[in-house]
Amino acid sequence: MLAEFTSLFEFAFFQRALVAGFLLAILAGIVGVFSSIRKSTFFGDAIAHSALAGVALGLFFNVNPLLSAAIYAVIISVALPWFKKQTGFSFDSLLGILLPVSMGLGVIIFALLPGYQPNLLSFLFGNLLAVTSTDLYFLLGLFVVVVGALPFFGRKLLFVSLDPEQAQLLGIPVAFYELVYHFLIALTVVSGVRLVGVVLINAFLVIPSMVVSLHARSLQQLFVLTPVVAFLSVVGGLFLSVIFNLPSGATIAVFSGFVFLCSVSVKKLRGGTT
Amino acid sequence: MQALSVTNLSVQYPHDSKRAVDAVSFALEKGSIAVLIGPNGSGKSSVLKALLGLLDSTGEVLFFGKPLEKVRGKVGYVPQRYSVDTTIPVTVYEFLMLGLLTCQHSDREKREMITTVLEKVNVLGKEKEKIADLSGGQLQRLLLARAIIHSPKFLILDEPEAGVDAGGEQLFYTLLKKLSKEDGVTILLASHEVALIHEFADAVICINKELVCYGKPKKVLTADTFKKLYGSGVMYYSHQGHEHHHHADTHQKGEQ
Repeated sequence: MLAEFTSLFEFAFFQRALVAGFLLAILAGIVGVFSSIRKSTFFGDAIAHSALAGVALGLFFNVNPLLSAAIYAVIISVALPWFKKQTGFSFDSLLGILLPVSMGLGVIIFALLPGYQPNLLSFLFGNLLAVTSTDLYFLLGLFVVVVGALPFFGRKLLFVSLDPEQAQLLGIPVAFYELVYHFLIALTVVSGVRLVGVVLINAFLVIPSMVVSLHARSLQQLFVLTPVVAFLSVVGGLFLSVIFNLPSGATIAVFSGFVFLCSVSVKKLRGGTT
Repeated sequence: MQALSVTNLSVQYPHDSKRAVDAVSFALEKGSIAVLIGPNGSGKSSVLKALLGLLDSTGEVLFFGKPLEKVRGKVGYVPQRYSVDTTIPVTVYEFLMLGLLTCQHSDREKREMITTVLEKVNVLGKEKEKIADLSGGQLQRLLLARAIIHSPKFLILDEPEAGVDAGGEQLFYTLLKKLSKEDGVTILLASHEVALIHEFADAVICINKELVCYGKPKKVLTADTFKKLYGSGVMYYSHQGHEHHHHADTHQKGEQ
């Protein structure tokens, strides 16, 4: 089996998949830590599902679907806080509306598209093994934007995520950093649409940081180890998907769940509470 | 110059027809300790948050004659209850380091500031521990440490005794007294502990949506005040305490 595994690295499609998985793991791992600190993991899920409408709109108007999905997701992530302020409803309630409405809109537009169109399922569940060089460059561009922004915004975003009241008291513009967080989520979600699809991207955002938080002794460990666990989950899931001829995104999501269960068991065996 | 001057402070929450705080005015002398009392839901936390600019409000609030924006860093705040998320591994050091984000000091200076403040609040040696592993009293003192690490001239605390045992509470108030006496910090503290007012406070501010009383504790804490604050079901006792010190203790009893 080891020979079979190492021989996979000779294939260009597998190399591209690994590089894409690496970039997505770093990106989603870091942004996912912010999500778990903010207790807003549903936000990523809702933005991901709503990105389907952006993809469909792109195909309808003959624009790159990932670009339209990015624009749509960013608009939604900016509009949500405004709606919250206007209506007084909680984020969760508004996301509960956004998710089915956007998905419904996406499916309707897909149904209206004339002629041959890419399979809806490929955007729902992605295919890491079918990543093209163009996808890779797009992902690299988003990676550079998001990771490049972190040295400038990371620490203050962390403070705002952990304790918005104290951050505001020190004069940190909390609303601006809320917006930065929403941008990061929107771009991360879109970067994963081709690779793992809108349904499974949340596995990248949520599971690795939960796995690490069970064992980490500091925030520093949480931020360093989460992308590592995310990447190892990608490698494990990819390997299994090729060996057993299974859908890559789904296998990575299931494998990540397995890693989480192992992590919980190890914690229990060591006598800790979860 | 007064440390704090509040004029016609009002708070109204969005989608709420009544005001949570209605035209409250008071002032505090530099270096004094004031206790803000009132029943549950009387608007104590709203007043404190409005003073700190954490809630939209109307009226005028001046710290040392200036609006809050001009004196940021000189006003520290200890919240009512910090809900520690046990799944997020934040160490004591990281917690305080984040509070120093807006400081211009070097990392070495920041580390020294952390050591000094932890020693002050008696939590030294716990830098690498997760805040989720601290006791209620230690956590409360850590919150105080974060609030005073910038050496503020004014300190606002919202019911800091919540979730702390009696021993921890005593230690906490001793620290506050020390801050007021040695560093000249003006302290405004919301509390349910009416008994501590005579021992601790130079001034008392009673609110129940609006200002009910304001002044020196001995003068304003009367049976009538308590009736206005807590209703007629509350019994009020005032008696002389230790004969050599000639101070009075005030107790409240009954259903609230």
